[in-house]
Amino acid sequence: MRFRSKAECDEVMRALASPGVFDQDAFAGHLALCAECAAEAERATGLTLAWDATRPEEPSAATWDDMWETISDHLDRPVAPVHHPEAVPSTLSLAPATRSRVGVRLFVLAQAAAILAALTLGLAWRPGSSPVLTDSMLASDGLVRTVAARAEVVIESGEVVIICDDGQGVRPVGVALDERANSLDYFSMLGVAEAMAE
Amino acid sequence: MKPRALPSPRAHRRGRGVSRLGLVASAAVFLALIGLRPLPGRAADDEARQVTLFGVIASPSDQAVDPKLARVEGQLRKLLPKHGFKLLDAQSKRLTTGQSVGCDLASGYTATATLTQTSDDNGKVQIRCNFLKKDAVQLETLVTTPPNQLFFCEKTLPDGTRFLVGVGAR
Repeated sequence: MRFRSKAECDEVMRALASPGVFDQDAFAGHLALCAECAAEAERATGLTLAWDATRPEEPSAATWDDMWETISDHLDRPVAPVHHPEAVPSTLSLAPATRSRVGVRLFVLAQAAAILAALTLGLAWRPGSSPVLTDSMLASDGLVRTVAARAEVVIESGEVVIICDDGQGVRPVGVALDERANSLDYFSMLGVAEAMAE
Repeated sequence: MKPRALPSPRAHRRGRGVSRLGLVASAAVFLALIGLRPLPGRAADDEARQVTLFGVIASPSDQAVDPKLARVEGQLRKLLPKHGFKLLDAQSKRLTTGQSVGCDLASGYTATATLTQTSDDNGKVQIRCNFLKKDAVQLETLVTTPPNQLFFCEKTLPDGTRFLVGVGAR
């Protein structure tokens, strides 16, 4: 890996993240040119020093062996079936394999159905969750529509609104969405705007 | 000593595993029901919103698009057809009620967004948007909008160019 110019900052970042074989002189030369990469290299060095100073002690081979032995013994230990005479018979008891599996499967299916029902109810219940594209927004000609002028504007979910001041008063202007438009484009636009921010 | 291979699960372990699955599933149902509780009509004042503000100058005489706006060129052209666009400024801040974020535009203009309410009864955010020229308010609009949704304020200058300011809150 060679770092030819300031424009190779990306390669420097990769080298810092996963050090491998690269030209040390060229790397140092780039850091001398690029204050940003030099600062990043300094931070990476500090992080490495902090990790070396504080990393936990690696368990010994004997410790690992003991751990496996414990796990294996625990799994091999026979488990006695649990019997509660006063309780309602449960399909989840620790019964031998001869007990029917149908009840277990029914229980799991019932739990999954309950989760699905709860989530569906939650999605339907939350106020204002449904995107609203009113009839007035679905103009077939695709032109921008003008709504009555006001200094207070309420925007509905899914609407794209430009509040215009062209010297004739404030007008919220709904951008009608034709078949090719996708209101999700404007949702992703917010993410792009955040990335542009300093 | 090498670790021993784990024995295959037997029926009683399968039963124990299913009972744990039932416990996890019950916990998931409980958590889902907890999430269904209605949102408070008036959010606590210590709640905050990440408010983003960006300013663009749109010119009808120059169709060029700033490379920084390449990813959103399609959306901008749909908002203002037959215009070129140049990014003037973009700012994003985490605001509590009453706090503001501003961005610099051109010709002595600035745009500000003040968070006036983090969440109303419908879960919408309320933001007051201002256009200022040398600290004098030229335009003020109180906007109630769903979170995670951009809206735009536009001001036309005498020479036909337009400031387009995008505002959104998370």
